[in-house]
Amino acid sequence: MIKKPELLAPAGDLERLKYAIHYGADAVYIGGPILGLRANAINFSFEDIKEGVKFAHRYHKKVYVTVNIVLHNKEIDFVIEYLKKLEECQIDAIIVSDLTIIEFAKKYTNLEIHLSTQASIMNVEACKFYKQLGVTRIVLARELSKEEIQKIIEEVDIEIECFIHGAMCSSISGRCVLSNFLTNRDSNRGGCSQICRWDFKLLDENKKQIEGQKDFTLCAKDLSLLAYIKDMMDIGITSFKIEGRMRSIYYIATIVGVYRKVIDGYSNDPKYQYDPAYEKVLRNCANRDAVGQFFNHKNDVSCQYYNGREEISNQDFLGIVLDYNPITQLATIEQRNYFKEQDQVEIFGPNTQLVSLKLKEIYDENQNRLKIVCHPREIVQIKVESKVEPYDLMRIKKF
Amino acid sequence: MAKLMVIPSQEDISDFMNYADAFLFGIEKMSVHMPFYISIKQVKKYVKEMKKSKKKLFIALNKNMQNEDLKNLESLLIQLDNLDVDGIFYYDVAVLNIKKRLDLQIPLVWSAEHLTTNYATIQFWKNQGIDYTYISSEITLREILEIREHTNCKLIVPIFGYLPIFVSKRHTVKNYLKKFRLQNSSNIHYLRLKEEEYPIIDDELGSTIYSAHILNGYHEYLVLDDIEYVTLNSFEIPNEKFLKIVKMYFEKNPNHEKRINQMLLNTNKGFLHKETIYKVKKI
Repeated sequence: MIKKPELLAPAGDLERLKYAIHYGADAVYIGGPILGLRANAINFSFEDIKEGVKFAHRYHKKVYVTVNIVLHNKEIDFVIEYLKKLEECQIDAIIVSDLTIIEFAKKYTNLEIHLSTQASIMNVEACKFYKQLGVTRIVLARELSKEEIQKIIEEVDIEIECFIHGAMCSSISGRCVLSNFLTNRDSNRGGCSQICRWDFKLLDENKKQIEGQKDFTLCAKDLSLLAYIKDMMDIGITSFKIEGRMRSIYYIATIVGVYRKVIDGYSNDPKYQYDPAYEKVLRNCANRDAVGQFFNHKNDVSCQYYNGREEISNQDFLGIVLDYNPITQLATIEQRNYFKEQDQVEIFGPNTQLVSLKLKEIYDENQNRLKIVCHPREIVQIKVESKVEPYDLMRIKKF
Repeated sequence: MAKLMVIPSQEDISDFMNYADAFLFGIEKMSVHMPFYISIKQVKKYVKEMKKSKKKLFIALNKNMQNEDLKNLESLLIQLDNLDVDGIFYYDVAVLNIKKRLDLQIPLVWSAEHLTTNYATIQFWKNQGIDYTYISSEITLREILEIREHTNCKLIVPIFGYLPIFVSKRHTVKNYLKKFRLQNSSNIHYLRLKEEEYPIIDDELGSTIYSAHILNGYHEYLVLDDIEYVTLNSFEIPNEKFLKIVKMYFEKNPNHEKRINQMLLNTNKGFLHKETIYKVKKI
């Protein structure tokens, strides 16, 4: 039997943390009140962190906190106090790139330290250096192939974490300050304004415009290593990481759920083959193309995106199951996107086999019949003949 | 006052010898965003010239190293150590680890571009055995002076030239040309956004984008005490003009800043007096 890796999911807030764990994450990573790389996210207060840790530990899952900002002088004085407060929250590790934070964490706390992908670690020597500093896990750069990762695992006795799914930086992490120069927002301090998704005109050496069918962009397609999960398990990667702390619960539940099934499938049966429909589910969820990127040596035009910023926001996610009454067969749903009577929908969840149905009966909280559900977070009831559970999600049926 | 380190665009540096104190070159396949790359053979030649004229020679090995680079990196470090080169600019910590493992004496310059932003981390690396830090171009003059005050590491500050602002292993220009079946063999292109034009190089190692404006910190150079070197980068500056500029920096005349700005028409102060947006919330 192959050793089962950790499935590590992002969580932008407590609700998403709970969904990630319910849908099969072994660990979640979150941003604390300060010093993370998602300054525009809601992020967790210390109280939220404590509650999230308590929730995760109840299910024997772990919580890691990102402290991966590039420090400026003025933040140095905050670091020790902040790390001590995180330790009080009983988190399982911090994810760090700045060496001062590593040094202070070693000196003043017993926090476990994971090295962030911001450090862009790509080789054996660098891994050895960080191991002797006391780092217990390295999140490798996203530019590595399977063979390069394998060599590191063979030669350095340290936990290795790799991204398996989500958006990619077009640059080497840490080596892009386009955001600083074009929008004055600091990309290495949580302010990245994703300039790599902007359109530019490409000029030649004489500054004459080169006319392509579309404008020039640096944009990379998303990463998806679903097809390589077995390879990643075979070479002994410790943790499989999903990108996206700003993503919705629908995204997190869907992506985590799919990877959970595939990892469990390979762990339990070496002859397992995943359902190809999973690929459609993943693609549809993000509304962006995803490829294997550097893992399978594809550093070419197939990894680039030329659709500008035209991605349509995903409206597939219809609502959350809050409750189910097996006697009346009514499921209580919190609306997240518009739906109506006669829509073909699916309900899925960590313990619920996919339920497909046509919405025949919808009621409001006073049992009045509804034709459409169009108010954000409106609470309604729908008739569902199969049993569903809280934390199940409802989406439009597409396939 | 800081000494002048010139980053040249050509092999012949004789014209600069009267004004520069040090030179920085890249090594083919092991350095990124350098305007001129040399071989180890040429390093030997330059070392001789530098010793004779009492100048310093620095070499950039500043790409992100992959496993396949390590053998070459180790061999280069040994050779550069034997040649008594005055310092290695590095990004990847593999360089430091190899230096320590082999007990090499060659001085190292921590040159992690945008990450060299605070005195505590610089001091950490100093304690690990580095000799210099090449300061980030995204911090303010005030922050540089604070760093100076709080660390005993020797500092190098970028003071003139286009600044590298994006480094990628992706061949972004070549991919675009291929995607839309376009023919163009320029070794340099530009990305235009509104009125700004950003130089972009797509070479063997991937893509590098540079700032739209040329940093000209002449006045700041005049007040930077206890800084070991400031760098003047020749990338995309015609050689004749660049020589004049290096000479003007050498002369330390406050009126020269204006003259340089008039000569180039595309200068600014970068982030020397402008903080990027990031607010530290109270805990």
